[in-house]
Amino acid sequence: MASTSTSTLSRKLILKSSDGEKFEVDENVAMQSQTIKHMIEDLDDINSPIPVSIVTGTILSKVIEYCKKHATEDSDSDEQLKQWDKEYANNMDLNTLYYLLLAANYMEIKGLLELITQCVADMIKGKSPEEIRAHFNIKNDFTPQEEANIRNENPWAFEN
Amino acid sequence: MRISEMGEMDIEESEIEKLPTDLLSHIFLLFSSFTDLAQASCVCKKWREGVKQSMGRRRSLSFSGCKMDDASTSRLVHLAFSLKELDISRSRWGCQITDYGLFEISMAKCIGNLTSISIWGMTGITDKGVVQLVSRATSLQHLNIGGTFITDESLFAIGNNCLHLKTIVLWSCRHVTEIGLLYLVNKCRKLQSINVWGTRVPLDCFIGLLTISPALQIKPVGLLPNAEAIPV
Repeated sequence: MASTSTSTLSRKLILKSSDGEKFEVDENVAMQSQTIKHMIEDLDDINSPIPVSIVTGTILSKVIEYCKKHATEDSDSDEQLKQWDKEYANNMDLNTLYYLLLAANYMEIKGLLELITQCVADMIKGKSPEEIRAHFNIKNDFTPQEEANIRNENPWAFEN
Repeated sequence: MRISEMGEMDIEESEIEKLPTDLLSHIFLLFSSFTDLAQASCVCKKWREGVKQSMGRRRSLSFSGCKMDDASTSRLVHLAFSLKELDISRSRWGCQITDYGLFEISMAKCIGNLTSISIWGMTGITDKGVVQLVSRATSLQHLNIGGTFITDESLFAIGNNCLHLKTIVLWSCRHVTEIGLLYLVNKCRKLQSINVWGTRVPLDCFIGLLTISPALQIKPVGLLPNAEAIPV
């Protein structure tokens, strides 16, 4: 006798990345994303893949890793979860952090957004403009005069 | 690859450089040090804009530990549209906030929404600047003005304008008198606590304040060790 009784217990959703990769995830994992939550509400057919248009498969798999961990947080203490977050963020290179930031922002995953912004903020803190540019490979688009003017606006901020 | 703001194709930039200003400002909002903010705003044009935007989102601002001056302080406060708490207390030598700075700050958009201001230790300010500042800071609940040379004139202005005031710190304000304090406590009926350490006000005055507002906490505690014993 065919039965579909399990489907209501833990429904599976299929997320489709911008480069066509498909991920099957539990509904409660996907629901960490406010954007997906809203998309599901409008969806008639829960079995059709949900497009996550600006996120690539590589990044989406990392996002899902985060969401899985945080969907089942009852097994871990807050302290353990924080430690996990820290290691998760520390394992990412700069470009991955950038794409994760965009993904977390687009998918509206508050915890992930906070984690990554804090991580990037910590990288910037305590560095001079030159050090920041070198670290993030950013081009200085100020003229020397403009840069001098900006420094003169807050001379006290550059004193130790 | 993208067209940079300079209008040229740029393929060598890092990904972080492409972050939208909005997200950058999220990151800068996490900075508590002004040195970090100032350094970040020197990086490139987009970061400068991001720092500006993050200022507009800030609820509280503290220049603690900074050697700031009138112009830069007021410029930053003017950017902080959503500000609720402002701390420009002097925590190191050499900062030079004067009445002019207070005047400029009083013209900022956020001034009417400020609930907390700390300007303790600003020896360069007088009644003139303070009166101007508090006359616009009508939502104020907490004011720390200790270690300044203000007189009763400032207290009158606070009493007339800051009707929501809950706490005030006047330590070492050696020029305030009984008259000013009585006026203040009479007018600010929500006042819960007043710190008068190091003022030259006679003990009798505190009895007078408690008569007006029996629940008022006069700090430091122990100033009136035998309060009950003193005949009124």
